[in-house]
Amino acid sequence: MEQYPTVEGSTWTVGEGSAGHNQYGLDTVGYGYGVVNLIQTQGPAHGVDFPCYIDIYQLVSYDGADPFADNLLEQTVGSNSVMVCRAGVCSGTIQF
Amino acid sequence: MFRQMQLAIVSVLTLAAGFAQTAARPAFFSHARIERSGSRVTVTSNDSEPLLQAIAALRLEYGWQVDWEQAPGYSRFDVVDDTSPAWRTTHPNDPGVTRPSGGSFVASFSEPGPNGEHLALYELVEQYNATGNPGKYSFRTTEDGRIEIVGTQVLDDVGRPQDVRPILDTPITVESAERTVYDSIKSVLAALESATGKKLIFGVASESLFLNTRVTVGGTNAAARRLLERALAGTGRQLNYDLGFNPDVPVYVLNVSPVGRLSSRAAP
Repeated sequence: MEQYPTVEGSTWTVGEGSAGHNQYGLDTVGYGYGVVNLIQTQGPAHGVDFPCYIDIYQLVSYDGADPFADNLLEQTVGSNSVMVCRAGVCSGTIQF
Repeated sequence: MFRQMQLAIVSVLTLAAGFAQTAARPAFFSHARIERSGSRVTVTSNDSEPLLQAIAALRLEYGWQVDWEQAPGYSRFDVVDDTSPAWRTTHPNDPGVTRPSGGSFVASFSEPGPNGEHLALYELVEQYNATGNPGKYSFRTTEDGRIEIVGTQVLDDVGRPQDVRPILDTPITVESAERTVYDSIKSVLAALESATGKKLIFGVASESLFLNTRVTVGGTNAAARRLLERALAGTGRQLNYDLGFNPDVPVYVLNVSPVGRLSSRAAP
């Protein structure tokens, strides 16, 4: 699929983390159990080869200031596993 | 001076899904095309769900809020086989899979002025309903000013029109309580599953907005749609929702996206 240009207005705020100042709050990006399960169970019959990838483009700013990071978030879905990466730093393979 | 750490996460963009397709598929568009000639706007889509593709493009072109609920087609008149030939050779006795039977759709309307989305979208739906694409749809507005385009008719197993009540119009009961928006949405979907026996999943690409805000939602014999809208309003953001239907499982999938317009900023 072609990547869209930036969409204005698609923002949300991540609160302060519980560990003290300068800690980001919880942020969750990517598809959860229900959609991943749907991809794994229905995808192959539609011709989806595993692993397949979902790329999400994220721009991060501090307290309304100019953006300081462009992140590529990638969710890799295998036939029975998931791996997530942010800016090239990845989780291990998660059995799913 | 202490400042609360806040991150504004901007622009969850279209998901670039690397689905490798092994079967020959129709040459669908990745996005609907919008063109202007004089005072007329023409939107051209080509997709298995061409009405949704057109709506998605118009949302981004004009920054409109439009909710959509798919007509739950299931018959061979509304869905077509989409089984990969390669998969079929290794699964000769398993049920195949389908996709909606839609294709090309072209609609035109006068360039909408301020608050002109009602007339433009009404005309879009009327023109869609005059095509042979799957499902018939209704244009509706709520007391809160939300625009809803909902599927109200499918074709049955012998090709006859069959009226359907949109599943989100189903009356449900949810205990009134303060919850995160995420838990409120899940409560609405759980109550709707209990009321209908149908499976629904929340398929949003980011849950952060819904986990970080709280709202009080509940009601007795209230339309699920109204409770869902109240939950979404708890975010303080303008949001669209789409409810799609997959007859193969079968399952309804709820997606929520921010109201926004395409910006001139270059993509990362």
